Amino acid sequence: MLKLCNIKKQYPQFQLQCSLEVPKNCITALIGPNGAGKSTAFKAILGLIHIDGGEIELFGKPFCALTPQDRTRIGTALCNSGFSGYLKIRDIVPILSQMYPEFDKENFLEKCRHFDLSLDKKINDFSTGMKAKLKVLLAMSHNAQLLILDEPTVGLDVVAREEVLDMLREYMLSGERSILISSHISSDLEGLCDDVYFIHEGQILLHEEIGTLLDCYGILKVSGEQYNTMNQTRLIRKKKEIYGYSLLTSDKQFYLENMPELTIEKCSIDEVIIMMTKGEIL
Amino acid sequence: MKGLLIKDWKLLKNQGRFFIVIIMISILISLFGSRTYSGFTTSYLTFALSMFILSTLSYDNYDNGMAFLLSLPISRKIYVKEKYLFALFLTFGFWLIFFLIDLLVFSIRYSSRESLQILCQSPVYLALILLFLSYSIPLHLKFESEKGRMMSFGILGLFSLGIFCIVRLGMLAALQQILTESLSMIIGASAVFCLLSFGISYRISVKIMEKKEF
Repeated sequence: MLKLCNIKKQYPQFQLQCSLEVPKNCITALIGPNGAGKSTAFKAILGLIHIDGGEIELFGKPFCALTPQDRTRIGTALCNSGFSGYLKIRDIVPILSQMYPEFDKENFLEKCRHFDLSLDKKINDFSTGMKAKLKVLLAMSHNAQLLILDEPTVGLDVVAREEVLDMLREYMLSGERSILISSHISSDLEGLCDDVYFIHEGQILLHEEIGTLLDCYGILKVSGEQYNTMNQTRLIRKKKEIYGYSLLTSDKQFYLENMPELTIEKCSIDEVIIMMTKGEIL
Repeated sequence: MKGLLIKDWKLLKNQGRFFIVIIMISILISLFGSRTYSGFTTSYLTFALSMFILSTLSYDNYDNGMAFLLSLPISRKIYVKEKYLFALFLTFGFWLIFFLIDLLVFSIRYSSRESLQILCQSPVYLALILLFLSYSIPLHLKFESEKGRMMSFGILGLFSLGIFCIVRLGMLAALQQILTESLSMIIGASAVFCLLSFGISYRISVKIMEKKEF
């Protein structure tokens, strides 16, 4: 569905250099700390910036060969951008009807009512949460095959967040669809995504299926002495702690079987992010 | 492009009351204003309303909205094309409304010769407004709202200074005589010059947009 082959973008103090792929029927997450390059990657995919190298392929076509018709197959929600705040939802409906042949007006209006989004209020007067909901609804309103969602759940309360995530799950039920999503809320991604890319300082440092990440990765808490004597071949990162070291491994089972005396914990996406960014490479 | 035109139209419609007030002012000025300023005032109002096209550029840029707009199924070229079409439609539309109001009111207030004299100025003001938009749109696209607006008005200020100097140097009478003697030629040349400026401006704007990053 979407392929980024070694794309490069050079800024005076930052360089993005990454490759990633979003296969059909998959929800792929792009995670990383602030300033890691997530938004730059999203902008490159959407053609909002000019890349210095590499290739972007969408629906099997090079990006430069995409027609406006191809672009109707993409739904976008950007965290810091949307329709002008001076417009109302009622104003947006005819705009979308013109731009997207498959815009489902009835369904869109019904969803707006469901989320209590007033049709006659200026978007500027919406709360942060309402704006976030509207952006996701807009992206899903025209039967897009690929959704590109940059921080779609930002500003939403727990209940609304779960509703939006349910909508995304429901969206994926009719096949041939894919989602590329970034979020700071790792619990959202854990229950939603199929695979995850971790980006840091413009580089992809890790790509893993979410199941593998949650089942096989683990955090080992060891003393300095234990660290010096242990098998270190399956360790990825090391971080100094008061008690010794915390270690990130991609093969938790190996240590559970061979070094049962160690403290081994399951790790969440947040812990992987912390270890990958703060830890020392092994 | 139709979607973008609808967007700008909706933005315009949301300012409806403001436009109705301006049209009412225009009618009042035509009815009760002094003869000297009659033609100029309504043209000035056309100019003020045409500024709305620059406001739509600001609305699009507001809160980084351009990034979202360009993620919709439109190219940057189409975006620029829509702005120029909307500018032509808006300027000509308002000009026509005010022209018709003036035509109606002046035919009641003045003799047909006087009315014709006042109304003859109207196309010149239309040309000047289009000229103003020709350089303002690329400036707004390049430098965005505040800086673009300041530069546009800076250029307008220089132009006004030029007119002021012509008046101060006593060249106005000579200029008026040239204008009167070869009015049809000047109107024709102005029309060609304006269309040419608009075309060049469009091409520059497309280049600016294609280079820009969001």
